[in-house]
Amino acid sequence: MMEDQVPASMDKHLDVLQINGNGGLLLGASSLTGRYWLGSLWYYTNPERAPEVDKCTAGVQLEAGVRDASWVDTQRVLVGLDTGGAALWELQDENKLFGMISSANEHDNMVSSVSVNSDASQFVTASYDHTIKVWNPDLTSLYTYKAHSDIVWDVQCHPTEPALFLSCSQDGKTVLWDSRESKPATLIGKCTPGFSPTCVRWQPSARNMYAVGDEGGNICLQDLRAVVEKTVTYQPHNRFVTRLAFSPERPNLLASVSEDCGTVVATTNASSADVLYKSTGHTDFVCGLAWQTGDRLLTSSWDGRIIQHVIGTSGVNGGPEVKVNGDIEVDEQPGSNPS
Amino acid sequence: MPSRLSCGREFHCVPDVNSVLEWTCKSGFDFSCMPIVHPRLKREFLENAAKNRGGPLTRSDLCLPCGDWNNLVVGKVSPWLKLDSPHHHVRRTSELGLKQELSFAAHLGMPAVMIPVNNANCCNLARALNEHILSSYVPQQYWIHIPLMSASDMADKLFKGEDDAMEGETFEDTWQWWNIFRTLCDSTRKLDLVLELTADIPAEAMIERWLSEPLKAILVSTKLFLTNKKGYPVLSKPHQNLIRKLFKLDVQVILTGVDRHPEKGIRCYQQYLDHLWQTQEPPDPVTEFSKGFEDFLQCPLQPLMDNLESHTYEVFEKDPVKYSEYQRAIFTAVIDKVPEAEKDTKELILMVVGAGRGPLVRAAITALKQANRKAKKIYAVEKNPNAVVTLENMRDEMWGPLVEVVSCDMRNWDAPEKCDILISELLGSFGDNELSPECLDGAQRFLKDDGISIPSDYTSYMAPLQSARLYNEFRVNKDKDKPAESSFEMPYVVRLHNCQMLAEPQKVFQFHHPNRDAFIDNNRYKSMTFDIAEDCVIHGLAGYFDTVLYKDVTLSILPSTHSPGMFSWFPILFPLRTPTYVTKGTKVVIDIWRRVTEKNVWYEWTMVRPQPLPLHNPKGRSYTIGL
Repeated sequence: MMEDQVPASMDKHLDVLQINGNGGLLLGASSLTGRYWLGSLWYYTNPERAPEVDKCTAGVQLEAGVRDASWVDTQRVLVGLDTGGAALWELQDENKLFGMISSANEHDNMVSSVSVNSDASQFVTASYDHTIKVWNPDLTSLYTYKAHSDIVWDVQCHPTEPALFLSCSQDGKTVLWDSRESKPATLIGKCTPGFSPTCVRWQPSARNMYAVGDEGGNICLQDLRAVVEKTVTYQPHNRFVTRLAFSPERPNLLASVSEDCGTVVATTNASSADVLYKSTGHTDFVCGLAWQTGDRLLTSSWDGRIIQHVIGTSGVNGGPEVKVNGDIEVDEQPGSNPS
Repeated sequence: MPSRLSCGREFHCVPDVNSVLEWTCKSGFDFSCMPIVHPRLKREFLENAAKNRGGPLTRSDLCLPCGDWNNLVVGKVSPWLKLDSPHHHVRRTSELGLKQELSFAAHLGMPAVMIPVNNANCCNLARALNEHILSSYVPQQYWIHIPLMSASDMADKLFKGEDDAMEGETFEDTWQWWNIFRTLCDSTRKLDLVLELTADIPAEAMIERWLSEPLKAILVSTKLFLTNKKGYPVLSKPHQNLIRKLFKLDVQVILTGVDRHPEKGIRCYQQYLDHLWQTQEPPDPVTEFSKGFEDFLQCPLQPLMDNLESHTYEVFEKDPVKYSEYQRAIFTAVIDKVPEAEKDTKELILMVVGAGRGPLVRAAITALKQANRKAKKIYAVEKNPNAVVTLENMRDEMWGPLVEVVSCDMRNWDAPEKCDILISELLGSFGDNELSPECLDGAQRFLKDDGISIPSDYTSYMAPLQSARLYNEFRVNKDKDKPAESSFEMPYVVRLHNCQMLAEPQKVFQFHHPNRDAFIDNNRYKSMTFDIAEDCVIHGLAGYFDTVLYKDVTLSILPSTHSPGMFSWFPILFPLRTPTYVTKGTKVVIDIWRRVTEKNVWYEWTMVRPQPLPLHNPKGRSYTIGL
């Protein structure tokens, strides 16, 4: 039965990597060219075997490409599709099967980002249709927010406050949302003038810190509190930043991936950001990014590969180990911020 | 007008082109709009490893037979193309990406490619498209997609401190985007406008201005639909009214957005839109008559120099209004001429000058009968020997000796006696432009001193006009044996349709008959000032006339007073060589001259303010009316 569901081959554009509470890896892949523009979901109990088709425990074909997904718990995952639909899939039968629990097709354009709030009581989706939708866990929609005037690239729920989330859009705005309010949106400023923000992430250890990446490759760290005016800006990339991820175990480490094919990890604090690690192992846009453990980072790319990066603890000494599709490579490690 | 609406479906996601196309046709749509390349498949051309990406750009042309690509698929360019980004790498990547997509769309032979313009910052996009147009030989249109209102004006007021309804809120005028874009593209006919309807609808004047643009299609999102009592999608009254207005330009509709009534099926949207199309008000007689003539430039007739053909006579004799009004005018004049007491004794002399095939002779005979008055003679003077054949046959078969047919130019005729009533129909679309003044001044020598001329007065009118379509017609109308400007230096008769009048028409020239001035001079000069209500582009000057046939009997082709059902005259249109952008509140000064010599008559005209233009048709170099 399991063999029936698993697609025969891997879609080339590896858009999504998400690690769940059991250390298992969800891989979301799309085919953005060729005859069929479909997508697929894969689950690996051993993330190091991804993206091998026959090493997954579960795999399922989707009706279209998948740009983002987010774990709800260790078994259920929220998926955003190019159709404009959102779907909730569940790992069943001891991780051998994907079963769809619910789905909704309400966005007028592709879904660009999905996020689950801190108590899993609400889901948030963002779309190329300029809107953000807030959903109940059964995927009935609660609110449709039309505040952005261009593609909404990213949304992320606050790590501890269920009603709060961030969004950023091609219209240049980064917005803090509070779904309890009738006027829920607060503009929280622009980082690098002239560049549209493309992704946002809360820093998990600090309630008010967040990072924003933009289309020029800049990243800035900001504090929500108005009293803290200082922002830290660095430019680890020179193209659209596709995803950011703070290490859950070492929250001062911020990983970023970009359309410049690069993967960068920086050590951040309230006053500075120092590039600790830099990889150009991918040969195409890097789209998927997930921390496996405190020092292991996974990235996936449109080159069809997943790379495991081992980030040194000291940050300066010793070449990190890099695993590409099971092969071990050594990547360069700059000692300081190149920008 | 086609019997059913042409309705397309827009897709942002096409996992399988064959099944999507099949589904589109099954759901009642005529075509689909779909991405040329997957909308997320961004490319890199400048640096880093991604520029060496292998694999196909998009799906193969072999996925569909050529006939399907050519007829059923409108391409859409990718949403990430930002050709007017301030950042060099974004801009360059977008330029090269657009080039790839346009080139592939041309390869597929798609009939059109839809390109969104999302703000006024669109100059580099216009430049890039121009470059493509100039280097492509494929007959392909570019559908420029503009929203009725900007995305930021359509955003909900969700930010803290934002009021729901701001006092005196001003909206961005998206027509400016279009105007910039198409002007940079030199108003090429390769561009069509696709207007996206929005939840809010701008003011009436804004809509009128869109009606003067080359509108190809309207994008209607499923999110604009409401649900009726039976659960079907319907549009609000304001949206219905707007769509019906736009239907007058024969537009197509493209349905966009997710199916919001899945239990009824997507087809019900198409059926509803087609229902709006089918239930349009039936056209009035003038519109019915004008079918196929909309925005078609015709050279004004020159009946003095050329003899009209039988077909032309037949068309104009069918006018249901004109001759009955003439008949009413003659009736009134006859009663005025012969008091009740003298009706058995007094006999009138009537002359119809330019009798053609006799409709006015008929009107005169009927009017006399109605009035119970007698005529001694009705002279029917006609210079066209071919029409005289008809007149003489009519006299022999119907009219008898009451009518005397004179085959002669009225200006040369030596009348045996003077008449009481001189009847003519020599008016053109601009009143005097078929030289009625010169003819009647010549003919009035055989009108008794107390005689009546029907018509007794006529006045021409003029108003500035916006119409990119007509401007293009002027351009392509050029005769290769003549200088380039000549097609802009002659007036045209045209059923004005895809255009907007920019101010109320003003009086230009007036003539009165009989003209008892000691010295008759039909030279005229008029300067007019128009107040412009909205930002616009002036492409030409629309001309009209009205006439007093006799006392209260009038004919008019002025839009505000148009004689109902009368189709004999379409408006006249004076081109302007340079389309001139004019902002709201500007005073536009237009000057026009009527110049007369022994041999011919012509007009010279130009704009003086805000932008002086060269005199059009100086010395009648491009256009004269022969005497």
